[in-house]
Amino acid sequence: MTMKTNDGHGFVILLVDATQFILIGRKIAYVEAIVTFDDISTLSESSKETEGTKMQSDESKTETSINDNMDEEIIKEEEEEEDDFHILDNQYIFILLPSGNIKVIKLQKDTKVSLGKFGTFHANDIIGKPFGHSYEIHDRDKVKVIRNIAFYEIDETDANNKETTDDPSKQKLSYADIEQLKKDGLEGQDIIKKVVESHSTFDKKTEYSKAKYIKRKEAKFSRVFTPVKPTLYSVWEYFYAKNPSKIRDMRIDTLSQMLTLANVKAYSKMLVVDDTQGLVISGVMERLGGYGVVIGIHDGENHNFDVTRYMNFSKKVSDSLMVLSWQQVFKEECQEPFNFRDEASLSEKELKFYFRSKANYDRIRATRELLFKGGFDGLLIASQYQPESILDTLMPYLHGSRPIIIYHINKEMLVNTCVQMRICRKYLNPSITESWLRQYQVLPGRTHPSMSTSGGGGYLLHTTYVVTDDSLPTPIPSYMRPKVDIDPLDDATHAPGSSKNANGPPLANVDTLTMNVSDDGYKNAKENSDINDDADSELIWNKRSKLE
Amino acid sequence: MSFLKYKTYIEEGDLVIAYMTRENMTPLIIDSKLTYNNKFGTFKHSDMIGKEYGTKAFMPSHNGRGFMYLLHPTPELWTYVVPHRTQILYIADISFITTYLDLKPGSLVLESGTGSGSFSHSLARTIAPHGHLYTFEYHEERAKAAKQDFEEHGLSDLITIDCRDVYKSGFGITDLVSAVFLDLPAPWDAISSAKAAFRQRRIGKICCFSPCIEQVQRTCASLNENGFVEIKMFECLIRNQEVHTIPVYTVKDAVSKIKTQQDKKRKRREQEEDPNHTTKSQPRQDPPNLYVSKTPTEARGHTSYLTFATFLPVLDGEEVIK
Repeated sequence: MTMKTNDGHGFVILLVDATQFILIGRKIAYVEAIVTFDDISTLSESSKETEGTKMQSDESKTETSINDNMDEEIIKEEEEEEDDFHILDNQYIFILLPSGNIKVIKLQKDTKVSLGKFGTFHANDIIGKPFGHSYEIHDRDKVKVIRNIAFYEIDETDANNKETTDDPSKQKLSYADIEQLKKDGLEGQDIIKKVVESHSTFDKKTEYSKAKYIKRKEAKFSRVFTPVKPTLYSVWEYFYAKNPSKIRDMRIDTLSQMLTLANVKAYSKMLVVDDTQGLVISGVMERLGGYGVVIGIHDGENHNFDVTRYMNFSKKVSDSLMVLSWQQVFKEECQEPFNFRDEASLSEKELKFYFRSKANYDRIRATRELLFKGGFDGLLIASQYQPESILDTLMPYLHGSRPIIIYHINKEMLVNTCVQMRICRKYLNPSITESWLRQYQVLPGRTHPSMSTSGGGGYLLHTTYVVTDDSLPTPIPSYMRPKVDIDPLDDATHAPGSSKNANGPPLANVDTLTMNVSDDGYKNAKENSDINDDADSELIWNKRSKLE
Repeated sequence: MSFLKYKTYIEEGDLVIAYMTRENMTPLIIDSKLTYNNKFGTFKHSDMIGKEYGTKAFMPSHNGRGFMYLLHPTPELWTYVVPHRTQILYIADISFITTYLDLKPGSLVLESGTGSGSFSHSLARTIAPHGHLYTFEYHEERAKAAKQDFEEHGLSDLITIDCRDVYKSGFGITDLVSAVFLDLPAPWDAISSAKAAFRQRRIGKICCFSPCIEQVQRTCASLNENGFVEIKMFECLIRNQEVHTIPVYTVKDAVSKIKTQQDKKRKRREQEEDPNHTTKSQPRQDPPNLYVSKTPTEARGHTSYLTFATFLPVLDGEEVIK
């Protein structure tokens, strides 16, 4: 990239998101020159510290369970026109730092937000602004909008990297010099400019190397940050970068496929088993848009759907979520009886507690009633527990022709379930798919797949629940049903015409159907793999024509 | 309205997807006077009325041996049965685009071209009940067919379809949508018009869908010139995993297999020599089974490149595109 001076003061700089999956350049052009000579060290240490600890406490708060304060938050939230395009007070936002890291904060008006070494700004300066733009911190804690651009065309030059050697002496500025520059009040791009000027062989680098060099310095010295709107994608990105195992290593393409395959839409009643901190629930809630209901089944006694709160859901959307623990899902596990008391006899403090536990009791009872009533429109599972056991428990509550999607990062967990599903015939065409995603860098003359990528996105087992009416004739005539005592290795039973089945004509391959019916026919599963998928009727038709 | 709202039981006039096999599905509009015939037999529509969606329907005419599933329509199933198919989008792409463009109930979206209208169905499902899709198709017959589908499926309130050449005359929409999807041979010729369609003071997302890398490069250059940022390009696929059960034999089994064959020969010999001779053969033990999966020998290797970019809101004092 060529360093182009815009107007004599500022110059075009390059900032590349260094997060795991963002490898395409995001460059920033200065709308105007920003020259600031305020001494940033005058920012009092004490105020820095208070900001620091404040941020920390906010961060640690996010780690804790949210059962109680979430309810309060929802109540506080007022019915307002849904506007998720502007930065609003009292909402979570992500902040993309020059280093490429993402920080999550809950924005509160009249407070200062510290971005560590990148500086501090006033929350009020960005509240009410639309998402999208980047800001540079200048004059200690002032912010200036930066008009981003995607990239500049790079002019090819004759330079090559022949002169490039690993020699730190080429950089004339020492660490102490840079610290001094900072003390002298130089900020962001001025320091980078100085660093570049002090590099003795910078001009000899290729344009690509120059761009890379500036990018590296940018990550260190720039004071440009970007508020990022919480969307399912950005929330996922944050959690996946921070701790993928907390969301069961689920990649966004896999999550998206779950939502599509499950046909999540307004006016639906969904069942979700979520051990992904509420990531799947968040996706489902967003697609319901407050029209419909989702029952989230969680591990442990209290739910830990932490992810949902970063989505800044409106009250309407938040209200669509109902939660149950596994214990509460089972009919035979009675709900803990509630000790009704005379409200008049309670003190104000006791009353508060009483109402709260009564509300909780009512909520659980209502949610259980809703579940037991059944008629759900889809089941999504991303759980640590055996899928078969979950299906046994929850299938009675599903309507016919509704999707079931099971996620697992380990395929092995799903393979067994898939086989069991084929055996029991309530599931149409159960299949396992793996999601595959590749990001590319597209820059003029430098287009290629990303050098590092996620190794896997997980597996989905998906199927449609179908209704089989027992009163109707069975699809497999009795004489075609496999005998339980068939020995798959006994050559005699395989020989055409030697079937001892007295009920019907001999069948060439009597056990081709066993895959669908019982465990006995697995020997033949391999050779008949093409038919055990879904083509029951076709298969039977073929059998029939063979017979005739 | 069954694309937008689930129903439990099949009624007169409903759209039902008759599923024979994964490769063989047909859309049926239930009319009690009609009968549906296929190679598996004859199905009276009137027999389907009142059944729960997802029911396995049997034909009495063939001793109950032929059957089909009566499925509830979904945009994904519609993709398989849409009669006037053009190139359709695959579920991996549909899913990823929907999430990346941040679509949800209430979103306002622009799509070009409509093609068979299959992706339009997916979009309409997600943005319902109060979102809106503006879709553009230059092919007159296709636009008509898609429009008719939208009407029959109760989607006309959600979708506005316009037959026009967007390269020449643009979209004719300004300051309205938050997401744009371009599935055009030359998206770069439509990007400046798409830019004007975005709600100007809000952030927006665009996706360009092109199969060739050269198209991607031109698209990126055009997006950059038009002030879009965060240009990112992805490719996504779904790999099928076929599940099988295989017996796990040991080398001891190999030895006993040979022994069995030898036994048989010996038996035959002995019987030839002495017809009254009988020997008991040892019952064989079944080997343990292993559930395994493998990727198919041939699979889809490429659909299209998905190029995404962000539309930046116009700042105060900046000119708004009109």
